[in-house]
Amino acid sequence: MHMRRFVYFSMLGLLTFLIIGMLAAFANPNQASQTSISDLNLSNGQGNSLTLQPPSSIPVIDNGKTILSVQDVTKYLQTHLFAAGPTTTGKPPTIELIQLLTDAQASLKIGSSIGLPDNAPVYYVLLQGPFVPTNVKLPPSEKPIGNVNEGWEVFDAYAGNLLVWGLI
Amino acid sequence: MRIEMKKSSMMEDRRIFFAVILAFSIFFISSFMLSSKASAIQLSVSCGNGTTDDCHAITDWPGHVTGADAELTVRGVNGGTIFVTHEMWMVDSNANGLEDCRPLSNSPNGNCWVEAGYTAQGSQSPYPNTERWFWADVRPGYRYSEHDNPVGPLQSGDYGHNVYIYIFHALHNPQKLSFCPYQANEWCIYIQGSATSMTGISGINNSNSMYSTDINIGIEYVGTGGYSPPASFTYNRWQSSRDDSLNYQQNSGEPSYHPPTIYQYLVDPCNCYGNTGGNIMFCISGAGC
Repeated sequence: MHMRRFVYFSMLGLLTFLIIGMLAAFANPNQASQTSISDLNLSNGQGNSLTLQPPSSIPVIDNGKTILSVQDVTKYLQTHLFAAGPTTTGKPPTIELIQLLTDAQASLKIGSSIGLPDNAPVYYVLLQGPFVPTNVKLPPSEKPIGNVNEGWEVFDAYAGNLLVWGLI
Repeated sequence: MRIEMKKSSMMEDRRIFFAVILAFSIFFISSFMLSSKASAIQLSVSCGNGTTDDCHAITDWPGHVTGADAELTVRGVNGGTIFVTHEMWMVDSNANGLEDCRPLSNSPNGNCWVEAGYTAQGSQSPYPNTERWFWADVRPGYRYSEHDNPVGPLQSGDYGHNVYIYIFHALHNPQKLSFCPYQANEWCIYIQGSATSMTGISGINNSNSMYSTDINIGIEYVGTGGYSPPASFTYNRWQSSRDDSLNYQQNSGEPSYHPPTIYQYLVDPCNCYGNTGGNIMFCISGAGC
């Protein structure tokens, strides 16, 4: 009788443990790995620190119905990391060029289809580092590429989305 | 009195029986949920920092083909600080060096490639702490570029199901997929998940003259922390340069790994009845392989 009670309560204990474990694990699945913007506080090597946000989308205007301005793009670039990785100094990348092009023009420039309609406006941006290319994906037979001097990004001029990025 | 005691004892037995059944049910359900959505888990592992060698666990099938496809399971992966990918590479080893294949202008001449799959972005990556379809390439004459699905991250309906990945030469499009330019000298990328998808064209105006020499499937990992449950690659096929037919792999290829990534063959591809190209798992060590 005591043995049965022991088994019974052991099972109840196991159940409680599992339920609590599941609740903890799924209350916020990303909590353990969530990084706030302040976690990406980078040193610029001069005793100051800069807070660069991860690359994402340029904030849209009028729900994406109004084309973004060069100023909007500039403001974004000054506060966000280049998609390939941070600069070696932790400073924002230097903006060398911002061009408003059609998708067809930008596709020719980068040598690959971007995927929007040919006449859709996009921003082509040229950035100078040097960058640490942490986010570059390589096949197993390829050697590490070392630091990168220049890179580019193409954004949807209405939606602000980063469409494609690359190295030079 | 004895009958009442016996009834009471039977009731107790039933309670214990149901408690055991319930406990095991919850255990198995929670195990399944944790394996399919594991983004909260991090392992004490690391590999490089983006300037040193990345860690890969892969299977390589050497030989010239005009395409390759496979299905792989979509799992909850945590990218750690940088990234984890589950993907396929179509590689041009450029062994004679006649093509201009460099990820950077000042890189030594090496491989060209097209790669496609899904990436778990780490905390310092584009779109941190999300998983996205992506494809990337180094084409002859052009440097590295990457397309992370701008539409959005993977959706809940993608998880726990297979994604179909197909990389092929546009000159050899036996399925006549309409997004791919007809009879053009480009490579095309087709990623079809259960809920979301992505397509791409590597090259423009007949500019991608890549000559494939290897199919690679597997995992790539860079950074610290992270977690990758096994990605199972099944229905691994190669597309014949002779007649564009898609054929199941019949040999185990050439597996390799760089810890902490690791591989495990669940089913070897074989020249035998019922072969469907094998079932090969890749993961970060300690996460199920």
